[in-house]
Amino acid sequence: MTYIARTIGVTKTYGGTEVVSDVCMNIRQGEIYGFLGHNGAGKTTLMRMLTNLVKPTAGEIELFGEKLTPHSYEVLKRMGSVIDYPFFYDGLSAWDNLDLHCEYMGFPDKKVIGTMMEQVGLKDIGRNPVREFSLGMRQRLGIARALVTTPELLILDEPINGLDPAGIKELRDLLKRLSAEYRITLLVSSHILGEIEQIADTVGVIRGGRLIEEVSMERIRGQHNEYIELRPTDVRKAAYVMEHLLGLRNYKLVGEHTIRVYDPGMSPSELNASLVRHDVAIESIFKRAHSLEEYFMNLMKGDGGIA
Amino acid sequence: MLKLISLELRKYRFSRHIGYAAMAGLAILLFLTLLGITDYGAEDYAFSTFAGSFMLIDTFVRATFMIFAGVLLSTMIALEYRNKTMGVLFTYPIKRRKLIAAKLVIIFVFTFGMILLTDVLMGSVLVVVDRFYPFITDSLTMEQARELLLEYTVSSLSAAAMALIPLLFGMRKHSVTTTMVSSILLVLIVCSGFNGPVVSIESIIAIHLALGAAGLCIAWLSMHRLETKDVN
Repeated sequence: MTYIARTIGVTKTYGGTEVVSDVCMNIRQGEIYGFLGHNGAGKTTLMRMLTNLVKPTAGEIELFGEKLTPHSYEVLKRMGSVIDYPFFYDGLSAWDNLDLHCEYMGFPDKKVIGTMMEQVGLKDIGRNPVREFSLGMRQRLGIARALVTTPELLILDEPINGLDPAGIKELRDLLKRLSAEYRITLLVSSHILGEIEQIADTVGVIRGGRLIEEVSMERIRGQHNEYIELRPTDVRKAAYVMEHLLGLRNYKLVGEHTIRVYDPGMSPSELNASLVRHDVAIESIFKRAHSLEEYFMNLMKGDGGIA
Repeated sequence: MLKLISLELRKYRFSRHIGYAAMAGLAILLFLTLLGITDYGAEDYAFSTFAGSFMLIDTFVRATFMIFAGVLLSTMIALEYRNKTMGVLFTYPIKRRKLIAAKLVIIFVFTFGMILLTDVLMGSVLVVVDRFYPFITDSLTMEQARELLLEYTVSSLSAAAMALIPLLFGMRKHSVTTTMVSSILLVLIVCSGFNGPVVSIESIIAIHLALGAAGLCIAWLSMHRLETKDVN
């Protein structure tokens, strides 16, 4: 297994407060790593540490198999990033900003600038000063800047901020294409679960500076697939019947009127028939796929998830 | 390094600063001409001797371009931190020290060059005008002119170096206002009272050289340990 980026027990302290605590993160080559957490959870600080802008108080960072030190410059050539907010020289045009970026990165092929501007839909306004750009346009230009030097690792901090729904879809397709066609490894942070869920291969969940979960989406989908949700007229009686007479133990009360049954091997019609046989009336019953959103929400809130 | 300097010049469209410098030079010329005309015949006429006149020119020119250097420090360093583009700059595979050094070399060379050039141009204007409309009582020998050129060079060098002192605030506070205010305060201290209470030429030179050394020291310190500092 080749890891492009790893953090080993990384901690960052500001004025005695730990904003990132003992994070061990493993980003594999070619994957899209979704980094999930509320605002202020420590996502940006960790990303800043990966780009060497902020130095860890403790722990180690490995990029492309090498330990990151304050004097690691060569690895920066292999990375592209948009962290926090896409900052530019506002008085210069979008084109000039990308041109300067290529010069500083030591990237000679300027033809790519045109292609990149076209890909992010900014070709027609590329000669306008960046100060005239909206947040969405800046975001797209930021992604173009990060991509123009064809990096092996792309770090994007909340890239969908400011994008309209069409822009979000375009970005999602672009990121998937980058990963599938060019084998670029992506670290994408977001506080919007739906976005991460749709593109990520692996998800890392950070809460209060701690990485509380790092799991492949495939595994989560396997673990949290289906359940039966029912609304009986008498929840207590239904629970009693299920537990003592039907032998179902893996269920959960959701609110005051709903029960979710996670035991495999029983269909809604069988469960319905069994409950009715024991005089439990059912208002509704149906099979549902477990919402990943719910799973992550619980993790982020600190409820430990449903398993 | 030359490439970094050329990128900085491009980034800030530096050629426009030459235009601004020319405008500042013209403003000084206009002011000194007015001073020369309105004050003519007064007991403490500023242009009564060549030595005094050259010192007056140098003082005004230094003051102007030291503040100009403050503006450049604010734009190229403090503002770049404040606009967070410094964070972008520091993600490039280039030593941070070199990135800052490129900026400081531009500011130093520009300030030095502009002070020396303007001093020499204004001095020449003074000599030429005096040739046609004599108003300065003493005369200027070639030996004095050579000495003056040397003095102007040393003075421009020390002024360009001490103009970097506000960097102390620019790098720490990342504040444009603090950088500008410290630049103006510095000018008020070093460019005032040139004909006031008698201070020997030697001691003035010593102060200028000491402040110049302080400026260079601050420039060096600003780059020191830059690689290990966090950029937020």
